[in-house]
Amino acid sequence: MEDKIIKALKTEPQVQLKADFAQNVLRKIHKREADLERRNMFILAFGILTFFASSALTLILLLDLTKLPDLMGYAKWIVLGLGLFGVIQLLDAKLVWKRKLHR
Amino acid sequence: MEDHQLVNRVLQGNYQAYLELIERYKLLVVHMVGRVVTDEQDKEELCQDVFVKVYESLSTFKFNSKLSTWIATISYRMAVNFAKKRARRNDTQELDDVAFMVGHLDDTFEEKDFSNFVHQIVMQMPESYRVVLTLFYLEGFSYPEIVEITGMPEGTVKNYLFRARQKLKDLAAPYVGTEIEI
Repeated sequence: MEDKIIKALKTEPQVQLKADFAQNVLRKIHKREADLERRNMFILAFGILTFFASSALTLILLLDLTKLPDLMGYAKWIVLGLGLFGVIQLLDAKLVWKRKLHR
Repeated sequence: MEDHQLVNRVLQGNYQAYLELIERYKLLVVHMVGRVVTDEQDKEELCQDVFVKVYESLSTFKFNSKLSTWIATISYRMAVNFAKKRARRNDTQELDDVAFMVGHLDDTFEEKDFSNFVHQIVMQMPESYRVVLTLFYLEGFSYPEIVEITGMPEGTVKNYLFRARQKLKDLAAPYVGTEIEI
């Protein structure tokens, strides 16, 4: 009896998949790639923007173009924060890009 | 074409090669997912998601194991996570606690009917038993490969297989009768 049971276990059960199963997988892959591309572009643009913003503020600080001493205290932290955020965004964009290129 | 070549072609951006890979491992994924997720629509959707995940992770696959083992591992983990979210798992249930609904077979049943009957019983077993039986008998994986896929200790895998076989023998005995020697 065991042989018969094992033979039955090795028999493929009925499987019903849609005819366009593989095409649907590819469609999902293309959609995810497009989403990734959009996300990456957004991160890159935002990274560049914040990077330049922090650079501009650094210049303002260094050249002391503003003559408002109270504001300078806050500006220092804004510059640091934006600069750090910009670098993180750029690194993130680089990683996403690298992952995409690897594929 | 060998798996290695196929994977390299997919990594070079050849979608046709990926279609071939899907065709090659479609049944493995369907069997794995089908043993954990029972709803037909969920099953098909999850099988597609497994292949999306395989595609996204393919660059990390280093051929330390067989491609089929790697795909089966992804399928098993995704199916289990899906079932956890749906909270329909009966994994904690013991085999002896399951009340089996055995379908009717007449005296003139054919081999195909018996096979359906066996699969019907398997589907009523706790999830771990279903998965182990499928991996061992249907997909032909070895014990170490099943350990790698499921993360269960080898002793547990062997125990599940033994107990599931015993249960199947007990339930199928009245239908097989004396016509086949044990």
